[in-house]
Amino acid sequence: MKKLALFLISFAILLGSAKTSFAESDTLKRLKKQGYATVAVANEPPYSDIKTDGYVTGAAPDVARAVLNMLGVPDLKAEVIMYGAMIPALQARRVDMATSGLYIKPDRCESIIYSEPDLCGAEAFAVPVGNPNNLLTYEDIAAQPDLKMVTCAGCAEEKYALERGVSADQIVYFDTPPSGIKMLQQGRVDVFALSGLGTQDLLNKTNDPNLELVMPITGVPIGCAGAAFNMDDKEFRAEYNMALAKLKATGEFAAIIEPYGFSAEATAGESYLTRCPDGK
Amino acid sequence: MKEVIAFYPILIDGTITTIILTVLSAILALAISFVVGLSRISKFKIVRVLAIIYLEFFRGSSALVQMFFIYFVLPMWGIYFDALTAGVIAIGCNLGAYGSEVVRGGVLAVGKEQHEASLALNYSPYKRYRHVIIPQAIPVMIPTFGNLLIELLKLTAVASLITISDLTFMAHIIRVQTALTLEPFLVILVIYFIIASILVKIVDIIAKKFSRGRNIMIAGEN
Repeated sequence: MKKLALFLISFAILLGSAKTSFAESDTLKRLKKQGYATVAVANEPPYSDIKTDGYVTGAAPDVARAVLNMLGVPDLKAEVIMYGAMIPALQARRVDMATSGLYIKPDRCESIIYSEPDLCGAEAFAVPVGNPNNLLTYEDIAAQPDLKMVTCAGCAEEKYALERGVSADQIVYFDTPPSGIKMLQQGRVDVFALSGLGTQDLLNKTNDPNLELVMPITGVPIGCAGAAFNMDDKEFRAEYNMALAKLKATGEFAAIIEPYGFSAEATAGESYLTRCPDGK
Repeated sequence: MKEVIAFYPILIDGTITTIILTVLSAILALAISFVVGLSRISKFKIVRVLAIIYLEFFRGSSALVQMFFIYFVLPMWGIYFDALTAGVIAIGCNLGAYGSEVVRGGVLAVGKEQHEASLALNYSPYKRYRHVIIPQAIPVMIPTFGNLLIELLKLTAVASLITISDLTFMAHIIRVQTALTLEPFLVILVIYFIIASILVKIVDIIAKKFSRGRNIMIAGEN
């Protein structure tokens, strides 16, 4: 694997020097020099997976590790932070990049920039077993205004719901996904909405026979996440994208993400160019 | 419970971080308490006004917002603190504002005749406060400072929001990774309680030294 990466890097350098002189961005130079990149990671399995000793793995950090390795940055220093703190952390340059399920969304593209999508997946609901309210789409929630749904503040799911007619006072917010599941178990809400794999993982761990998974939710786009960078790191993003494309081409990408339940094919044909307005 | 105990390496890290954050913030808060508290009774108006502005600002706005401001907003103006420093500054400045009122109250509680007597002996202001007023004010301050210290320990829990990996943060990680709710919170509840009990003991040891015959212990004993 290392040999392959080395080969690809030398190949890339050759290719680069053939066209123009291969100029590295200042950010990459700095990361190479210090030997690691500080990466914001959210606490959300299976996008990220934190071992009992604190070691951070999971689909998104593992992809970032592989890409950074190809770029010549040997180590990744993961900083586990809340979703809400990710964009401020990038803007304040607390971290060099952020990864793990930060969906590419038009309003976010105003404050940060994204790599090409690395993890894409369908949306899901968790509902009481038997789905008593017959909830299969967000429109179904909107049609029953006495129902409550729970999701996270500022998440894609909140937006999907609002856009499809769910009223704001039907939505309650959790701080962490297990809180949302607890609310569902305790009957405080009727439906829990989150990314498909996140919901699935949580339900598997909760192992409650009274809950059921509804996946995929029709009528909403596939959610795609990518690595996110500070606005001024466009060159570094380009370098990251180049390495990510190579990782995808070799099949190593699929080998990294598929054990976590993600599909490499789902990212095919997806690009931040279409997901961000004006292709930022 | 077994799953939660398996996470003991990060729980220990979190406990250490919480203790470091508590101790450093407490030192800063104590220093600020005395500086601002004594400034409140200065004979110079400008000093008094500055102290009041400080007090009202830090007491009147949320510690969480201050923390976010120091950690996420100041870097945009080129002022950069790492997470732990930002947390210590926010918590220290916030509790220091409360503490300044304790200092002021303690000093004012010392009898007027003590102020007058030390004046009559021609003590300089420094000597007056250092040798007469403050030694008598400290026993009055200790119980309230003890309470504030426990308050400070609990305030460190919000520091998890600026990426400090304290005990509460670790509980959230364990919770999300295992989908257990009762167990991680129960574990940190006990750890917080143990830390608080130790702090109470330490304050009582200090209280004994300064008590001068009065009962100023803060532990709930008779």
